[in-house]
Amino acid sequence: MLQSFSAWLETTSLSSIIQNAGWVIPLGQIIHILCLSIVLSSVVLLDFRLLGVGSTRVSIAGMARRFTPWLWSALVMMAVSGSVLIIGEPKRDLLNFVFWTKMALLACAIAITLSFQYSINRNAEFWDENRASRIPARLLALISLGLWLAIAVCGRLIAYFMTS
Amino acid sequence: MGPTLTILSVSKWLQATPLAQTISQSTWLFPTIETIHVIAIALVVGSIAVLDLRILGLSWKERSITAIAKDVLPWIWGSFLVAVIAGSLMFISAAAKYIVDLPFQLKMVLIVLAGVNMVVFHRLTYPDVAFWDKDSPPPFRAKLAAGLSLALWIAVVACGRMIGFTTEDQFGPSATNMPSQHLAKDVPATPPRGTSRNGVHFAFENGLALLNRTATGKSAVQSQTGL
Repeated sequence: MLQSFSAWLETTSLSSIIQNAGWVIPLGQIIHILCLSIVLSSVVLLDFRLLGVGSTRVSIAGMARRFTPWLWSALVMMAVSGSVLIIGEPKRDLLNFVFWTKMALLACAIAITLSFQYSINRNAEFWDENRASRIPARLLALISLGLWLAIAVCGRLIAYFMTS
Repeated sequence: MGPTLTILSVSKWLQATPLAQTISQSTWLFPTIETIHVIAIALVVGSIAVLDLRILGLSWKERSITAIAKDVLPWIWGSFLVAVIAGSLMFISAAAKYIVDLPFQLKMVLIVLAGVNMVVFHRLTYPDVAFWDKDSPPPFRAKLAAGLSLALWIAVVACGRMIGFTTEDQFGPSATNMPSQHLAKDVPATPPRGTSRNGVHFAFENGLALLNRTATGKSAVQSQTGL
Protein backbone atom coordinates (compact mmCIF):
# COMPACT_ATOMS: atom_id res chain seq x y z
CA MET A 1 0.00 0.00 0.00
CA LEU A 2 2.81 2.39 0.91
CA GLN A 3 4.55 1.27 -2.24
CA SER A 4 1.65 2.28 -4.44
CA PHE A 5 0.94 5.42 -2.44
CA SER A 6 4.49 6.69 -2.78
CA ALA A 7 4.53 5.70 -6.44
CA TRP A 8 1.34 7.72 -6.92
CA LEU A 9 2.63 10.65 -4.87
CA GLU A 10 5.72 10.74 -7.04
CA THR A 11 3.57 11.23 -10.15
CA THR A 12 1.54 14.13 -8.77
CA SER A 13 2.16 17.54 -10.25
CA LEU A 14 3.20 18.96 -6.86
CA SER A 15 5.88 16.30 -6.60
CA SER A 16 7.19 16.98 -10.09
CA ILE A 17 7.31 20.71 -9.40
CA ILE A 18 9.52 19.99 -6.37
CA GLN A 19 11.64 17.51 -8.30
CA ASN A 20 12.13 19.86 -11.24
CA ALA A 21 12.93 22.95 -9.23
CA GLY A 22 16.31 21.80 -7.97
CA TRP A 23 16.45 24.38 -5.18
CA VAL A 24 13.32 23.27 -3.29
CA ILE A 25 14.80 20.17 -1.66
CA PRO A 26 18.06 21.80 -0.48
CA LEU A 27 16.10 24.80 0.84
CA GLY A 28 13.58 22.50 2.53
CA GLN A 29 16.41 20.62 4.23
CA ILE A 30 18.09 23.85 5.38
CA ILE A 31 14.82 25.10 6.91
CA HIS A 32 14.29 21.67 8.47
CA ILE A 33 17.75 21.75 10.14
CA LEU A 34 17.36 25.35 11.34
CA CYS A 35 14.04 24.44 12.96
CA LEU A 36 15.70 21.36 14.44
CA SER A 37 18.17 23.69 16.14
CA ILE A 38 15.27 25.55 17.77
CA VAL A 39 13.58 22.30 18.83
CA LEU A 40 16.71 20.61 20.19
CA SER A 41 17.97 23.67 22.05
CA SER A 42 14.55 24.31 23.61
CA VAL A 43 14.24 20.68 24.65
CA VAL A 44 17.79 20.48 26.01
CA LEU A 45 17.56 23.70 28.04
CA LEU A 46 14.12 22.75 29.39
CA ASP A 47 15.05 19.16 30.19
CA PHE A 48 18.31 20.12 31.89
CA ARG A 49 16.34 22.57 33.99
CA LEU A 50 14.10 19.64 34.98
CA LEU A 51 17.25 17.70 35.84
CA GLY A 52 18.27 20.60 38.05
CA VAL A 53 21.21 21.70 35.91
CA GLY A 54 21.60 25.27 34.63
CA SER A 55 19.01 28.07 34.53
CA THR A 56 18.00 27.12 38.07
CA ARG A 57 17.24 30.75 38.87
CA VAL A 58 14.27 30.45 36.51
CA SER A 59 11.25 28.47 37.64
CA ILE A 60 10.36 25.35 35.67
CA ALA A 61 7.10 27.05 34.74
CA GLY A 62 9.09 30.08 33.54
CA MET A 63 11.31 27.88 31.38
CA ALA A 64 8.23 26.16 29.93
CA ARG A 65 6.69 29.58 29.16
CA ARG A 66 9.84 30.68 27.34
CA PHE A 67 10.57 27.52 25.36
CA THR A 68 7.36 25.60 24.59
CA PRO A 69 5.92 28.20 22.17
CA TRP A 70 9.18 28.15 20.19
CA LEU A 71 9.24 24.37 20.34
CA TRP A 72 5.73 24.01 18.88
CA SER A 73 6.21 26.70 16.23
CA ALA A 74 9.46 25.13 15.07
CA LEU A 75 7.83 21.69 15.04
CA VAL A 76 5.03 22.97 12.81
CA MET A 77 7.63 24.40 10.43
CA MET A 78 9.48 21.08 10.52
CA ALA A 79 6.26 19.28 9.64
CA VAL A 80 5.72 21.63 6.70
CA SER A 81 9.30 21.46 5.39
CA GLY A 82 9.37 17.72 6.06
CA SER A 83 6.17 17.23 4.07
CA VAL A 84 7.68 19.12 1.14
CA LEU A 85 10.70 16.79 1.27
CA ILE A 86 8.42 13.72 1.38
CA ILE A 87 6.30 14.92 -1.55
CA GLY A 88 9.47 15.61 -3.55
CA GLU A 89 11.01 12.21 -2.83
CA PRO A 90 8.23 9.97 -1.45
CA LYS A 91 10.05 6.65 -1.72
CA ARG A 92 13.09 7.99 0.11
CA ASP A 93 10.99 8.36 3.28
CA LEU A 94 7.79 6.37 3.05
CA LEU A 95 9.55 3.13 2.15
CA ASN A 96 12.19 3.61 4.81
CA PHE A 97 12.00 1.95 8.21
CA VAL A 98 14.22 4.65 9.75
CA PHE A 99 11.64 7.26 8.72
CA TRP A 100 8.82 5.29 10.38
CA THR A 101 10.92 4.77 13.49
CA LYS A 102 11.42 8.53 13.57
CA MET A 103 7.67 9.12 13.25
CA ALA A 104 6.90 6.67 16.07
CA LEU A 105 9.48 8.33 18.34
CA LEU A 106 8.11 11.74 17.37
CA ALA A 107 4.60 10.68 18.38
CA CYS A 108 5.92 9.60 21.80
CA ALA A 109 7.95 12.81 22.22
CA ILE A 110 4.96 14.99 21.34
CA ALA A 111 2.71 13.05 23.72
CA ILE A 112 5.20 13.41 26.57
CA THR A 113 5.80 17.11 25.94
CA LEU A 114 2.07 17.82 25.68
CA SER A 115 1.28 16.00 28.92
CA PHE A 116 4.10 17.85 30.71
CA GLN A 117 2.77 21.16 29.41
CA TYR A 118 -0.78 20.25 30.41
CA SER A 119 0.40 19.36 33.88
CA ILE A 120 2.44 22.52 34.33
CA ASN A 121 -0.45 24.70 33.16
CA ARG A 122 -2.71 23.11 35.73
CA ASN A 123 -0.33 22.79 38.61
CA ALA A 124 2.91 24.77 38.30
CA GLU A 125 3.63 24.52 42.02
CA PHE A 126 3.88 20.76 41.81
CA TRP A 127 6.85 21.04 39.48
CA ASP A 128 8.52 24.00 41.15
CA GLU A 129 7.92 23.73 44.85
CA ASN A 130 6.93 20.18 45.61
CA ARG A 131 9.84 17.91 46.44
CA ALA A 132 7.74 14.95 45.39
CA SER A 133 8.09 16.09 41.78
CA ARG A 134 11.86 15.69 41.70
CA ILE A 135 12.01 12.09 40.64
CA PRO A 136 9.21 12.30 38.05
CA ALA A 137 10.78 15.52 36.72
CA ARG A 138 14.15 13.85 36.22
CA LEU A 139 12.63 10.76 34.71
CA LEU A 140 10.56 12.87 32.34
CA ALA A 141 13.61 14.91 31.35
CA LEU A 142 15.72 11.84 30.61
CA ILE A 143 12.98 10.17 28.54
CA SER A 144 12.33 13.39 26.65
CA LEU A 145 16.03 13.99 25.94
CA GLY A 146 16.47 10.42 24.76
CA LEU A 147 13.45 10.62 22.47
CA TRP A 148 14.35 13.94 20.84
CA LEU A 149 17.97 12.94 20.32
CA ALA A 150 16.87 9.64 18.79
CA ILE A 151 14.54 11.57 16.48
CA ALA A 152 17.45 13.73 15.29
CA VAL A 153 19.63 10.65 14.79
CA CYS A 154 16.91 8.92 12.74
CA GLY A 155 16.44 12.10 10.72
CA ARG A 156 20.07 12.11 9.68
CA LEU A 157 20.17 8.38 9.06
CA ILE A 158 17.15 8.30 6.72
CA ALA A 159 19.53 9.10 3.87
CA TYR A 160 21.68 6.07 4.70
CA PHE A 161 18.89 3.51 4.86
CA MET A 162 17.07 3.98 1.62
CA THR A 163 15.61 0.79 0.26
CA SER A 164 14.21 2.06 -2.99
CA MET B 1 54.57 25.60 -5.59
CA GLY B 2 51.75 28.13 -5.20
CA PRO B 3 49.73 28.45 -2.03
CA THR B 4 46.71 26.79 -3.61
CA LEU B 5 48.75 23.77 -4.53
CA THR B 6 50.20 23.64 -1.05
CA ILE B 7 46.74 23.60 0.52
CA LEU B 8 45.69 20.88 -1.87
CA SER B 9 48.72 18.76 -1.15
CA VAL B 10 48.24 19.21 2.59
CA SER B 11 44.63 18.08 2.11
CA LYS B 12 45.77 15.04 0.19
CA TRP B 13 48.26 14.23 2.90
CA LEU B 14 45.54 14.65 5.52
CA GLN B 15 43.14 12.27 3.84
CA ALA B 16 45.89 9.68 3.50
CA THR B 17 46.55 9.60 7.25
CA PRO B 18 45.49 6.40 9.02
CA LEU B 19 42.72 8.20 10.95
CA ALA B 20 41.26 9.67 7.76
CA GLN B 21 41.51 6.32 6.01
CA THR B 22 39.76 4.59 8.88
CA ILE B 23 36.85 7.03 8.61
CA SER B 24 36.56 6.97 4.83
CA GLN B 25 36.74 3.19 4.62
CA SER B 26 34.23 2.46 7.33
CA THR B 27 30.56 2.21 6.44
CA TRP B 28 29.27 3.45 9.76
CA LEU B 29 31.89 5.93 11.05
CA PHE B 30 31.08 8.79 8.69
CA PRO B 31 27.29 8.65 9.23
CA THR B 32 27.85 8.47 13.00
CA ILE B 33 30.24 11.43 13.06
CA GLU B 34 27.92 13.35 10.74
CA THR B 35 24.94 12.74 13.04
CA ILE B 36 26.94 14.01 16.02
CA HIS B 37 27.99 17.04 13.95
CA VAL B 38 24.38 17.87 13.03
CA ILE B 39 23.14 17.58 16.61
CA ALA B 40 26.06 19.65 17.91
CA ILE B 41 25.66 22.42 15.34
CA ALA B 42 21.91 22.49 16.03
CA LEU B 43 22.67 23.09 19.72
CA VAL B 44 25.29 25.75 18.89
CA VAL B 45 22.92 27.71 16.67
CA GLY B 46 19.87 27.21 18.88
CA SER B 47 21.59 28.36 22.07
CA ILE B 48 23.28 31.30 20.33
CA ALA B 49 19.82 32.25 19.05
CA VAL B 50 18.44 32.30 22.62
CA LEU B 51 20.99 35.00 23.50
CA ASP B 52 20.77 36.89 20.20
CA LEU B 53 16.97 37.00 20.29
CA ARG B 54 17.11 38.38 23.83
CA ILE B 55 19.56 41.13 22.82
CA LEU B 56 17.33 41.94 19.85
CA GLY B 57 14.45 42.28 22.32
CA LEU B 58 12.46 39.48 20.69
CA SER B 59 12.20 37.00 23.54
CA TRP B 60 12.64 36.41 27.27
CA LYS B 61 12.69 40.12 28.08
CA GLU B 62 11.86 39.44 31.73
CA ARG B 63 15.35 37.95 32.23
CA SER B 64 18.61 39.88 32.23
CA ILE B 65 21.02 39.41 29.34
CA THR B 66 23.89 38.42 31.66
CA ALA B 67 21.78 35.73 33.35
CA ILE B 68 20.81 34.24 29.99
CA ALA B 69 24.43 34.44 28.79
CA LYS B 70 25.56 32.59 31.91
CA ASP B 71 23.07 29.80 31.23
CA VAL B 72 23.63 29.34 27.51
CA LEU B 73 27.37 30.01 27.12
CA PRO B 74 28.43 26.56 28.39
CA TRP B 75 26.04 25.01 25.84
CA ILE B 76 27.33 27.23 23.05
CA TRP B 77 31.01 26.45 23.69
CA GLY B 78 30.49 22.81 24.63
CA SER B 79 28.52 22.00 21.49
CA PHE B 80 30.80 24.16 19.34
CA LEU B 81 33.76 22.08 20.49
CA VAL B 82 31.93 18.85 19.64
CA ALA B 83 30.85 20.25 16.25
CA VAL B 84 34.43 21.29 15.44
CA ILE B 85 35.89 17.91 16.39
CA ALA B 86 33.23 15.98 14.46
CA GLY B 87 33.51 18.41 11.53
CA SER B 88 37.29 18.06 11.41
CA LEU B 89 37.00 14.28 11.32
CA MET B 90 34.52 14.52 8.45
CA PHE B 91 36.83 16.97 6.69
CA ILE B 92 39.97 14.86 6.88
CA SER B 93 38.10 11.79 5.61
CA ALA B 94 38.06 13.45 2.16
CA ALA B 95 39.98 16.70 2.65
CA ALA B 96 40.91 17.26 -0.99
CA LYS B 97 37.25 16.97 -1.96
CA TYR B 98 36.01 19.45 0.64
CA ILE B 99 38.81 22.01 0.37
CA VAL B 100 37.81 22.83 -3.22
CA ASP B 101 34.08 22.89 -2.46
CA LEU B 102 32.58 26.38 -2.55
CA PRO B 103 29.96 25.93 0.21
CA PHE B 104 32.67 24.44 2.43
CA GLN B 105 35.00 27.39 1.80
CA LEU B 106 32.14 29.82 2.40
CA LYS B 107 31.19 28.04 5.60
CA MET B 108 34.73 28.40 6.97
CA VAL B 109 34.79 32.12 6.07
CA LEU B 110 31.39 32.63 7.73
CA ILE B 111 32.54 30.90 10.93
CA VAL B 112 35.57 33.20 11.05
CA LEU B 113 33.31 36.22 10.49
CA ALA B 114 31.00 35.04 13.28
CA GLY B 115 34.07 34.77 15.51
CA VAL B 116 35.24 38.28 14.60
CA ASN B 117 31.74 39.61 15.26
CA MET B 118 31.74 37.93 18.65
CA VAL B 119 35.16 39.29 19.63
CA VAL B 120 34.23 42.83 18.54
CA PHE B 121 30.98 42.59 20.50
CA HIS B 122 32.78 41.28 23.55
CA ARG B 123 35.51 43.96 23.47
CA LEU B 124 33.53 47.04 22.48
CA THR B 125 29.90 46.50 23.40
CA TYR B 126 29.55 43.96 26.18
CA PRO B 127 31.66 45.82 28.81
CA ASP B 128 28.81 48.27 29.47
CA VAL B 129 26.11 45.58 29.51
CA ALA B 130 25.15 46.69 33.03
CA PHE B 131 23.41 49.71 31.52
CA TRP B 132 21.14 47.65 29.28
CA ASP B 133 21.15 44.29 31.03
CA LYS B 134 17.48 44.15 31.87
CA ASP B 135 15.41 47.28 32.16
CA SER B 136 16.56 49.43 29.27
CA PRO B 137 16.83 48.22 25.67
CA PRO B 138 20.31 47.33 24.37
CA PRO B 139 22.04 49.95 22.20
CA PHE B 140 22.03 49.69 18.42
CA ARG B 141 25.59 48.31 18.29
CA ALA B 142 24.49 45.39 20.52
CA LYS B 143 21.46 44.69 18.36
CA LEU B 144 23.59 44.90 15.24
CA ALA B 145 26.00 42.31 16.63
CA ALA B 146 23.11 40.02 17.64
CA GLY B 147 21.47 40.36 14.22
CA LEU B 148 24.77 39.68 12.45
CA SER B 149 25.42 36.69 14.67
CA LEU B 150 22.01 35.18 13.87
CA ALA B 151 22.39 35.80 10.14
CA LEU B 152 25.93 34.41 10.05
CA TRP B 153 25.05 31.22 11.92
CA ILE B 154 21.97 30.62 9.76
CA ALA B 155 24.25 30.99 6.73
CA VAL B 156 26.77 28.57 8.30
CA VAL B 157 24.02 25.93 8.61
CA ALA B 158 22.85 26.60 5.05
CA CYS B 159 26.37 26.23 3.66
CA GLY B 160 26.93 23.13 5.77
CA ARG B 161 23.89 21.47 4.26
CA MET B 162 24.90 22.58 0.76
CA ILE B 163 28.23 20.76 1.11
CA GLY B 164 26.21 17.55 0.89
CA PHE B 165 24.71 18.68 -2.41
CA THR B 166 27.89 19.93 -4.05
CA THR B 167 30.44 17.27 -3.15
CA GLU B 168 30.35 13.84 -4.61
CA ASP B 169 30.06 11.65 -1.58
CA GLN B 170 30.93 8.07 -2.18
CA PHE B 171 27.73 7.14 -0.51
CA GLY B 172 25.07 8.61 1.69
CA PRO B 173 23.04 11.76 1.63
CA SER B 174 24.45 13.73 -1.25
CA ALA B 175 24.58 10.68 -3.42
CA THR B 176 20.99 9.82 -2.72
CA ASN B 177 19.19 13.11 -2.42
CA MET B 178 21.04 15.34 -4.80
CA PRO B 179 18.88 16.53 -7.65
CA SER B 180 20.80 15.93 -10.84
CA GLN B 181 20.91 19.61 -11.75
CA HIS B 182 22.78 20.24 -8.53
CA LEU B 183 25.78 18.24 -9.52
CA ALA B 184 28.70 20.47 -8.80
CA LYS B 185 30.19 21.68 -12.00
CA ASP B 186 32.87 23.71 -10.30
CA VAL B 187 34.29 20.81 -8.37
CA PRO B 188 37.22 19.19 -10.16
CA ALA B 189 36.68 15.51 -10.60
CA THR B 190 38.68 13.58 -8.06
CA PRO B 191 40.41 10.49 -9.34
CA PRO B 192 38.83 7.17 -8.40
CA ARG B 193 40.12 6.16 -5.04
CA GLY B 194 40.35 2.51 -5.66
CA THR B 195 38.98 2.04 -2.19
CA SER B 196 35.73 0.31 -1.62
CA ARG B 197 32.84 0.35 0.73
CA ASN B 198 31.09 -2.91 1.37
CA GLY B 199 33.39 -4.40 -1.22
CA VAL B 200 31.72 -2.43 -3.98
CA HIS B 201 33.98 -0.42 -6.20
CA PHE B 202 32.74 3.11 -6.47
CA ALA B 203 32.94 3.99 -10.11
CA PHE B 204 30.87 7.02 -9.20
CA GLU B 205 33.68 9.50 -9.39
CA ASN B 206 34.91 8.55 -12.83
CA GLY B 207 32.15 10.51 -14.48
CA LEU B 208 30.54 7.62 -16.29
CA ALA B 209 28.22 6.89 -13.46
CA LEU B 210 27.60 10.58 -13.13
CA LEU B 211 26.43 10.78 -16.71
CA ASN B 212 24.37 7.68 -16.28
CA ARG B 213 22.72 9.17 -13.24
CA THR B 214 21.95 12.43 -14.92
CA ALA B 215 20.32 10.50 -17.75
CA THR B 216 18.25 8.13 -15.66
CA GLY B 217 17.71 10.34 -12.66
CA LYS B 218 18.78 7.49 -10.46
CA SER B 219 21.76 7.46 -8.20
CA ALA B 220 24.47 5.14 -9.41
CA VAL B 221 25.75 4.66 -5.91
CA GLN B 222 22.28 3.95 -4.70
CA SER B 223 21.72 1.26 -7.27
CA GLN B 224 25.13 -0.22 -6.59
CA THR B 225 24.99 -0.34 -2.85
CA GLY B 226 21.34 -0.23 -2.01
CA LEU B 227 21.99 2.66 0.34
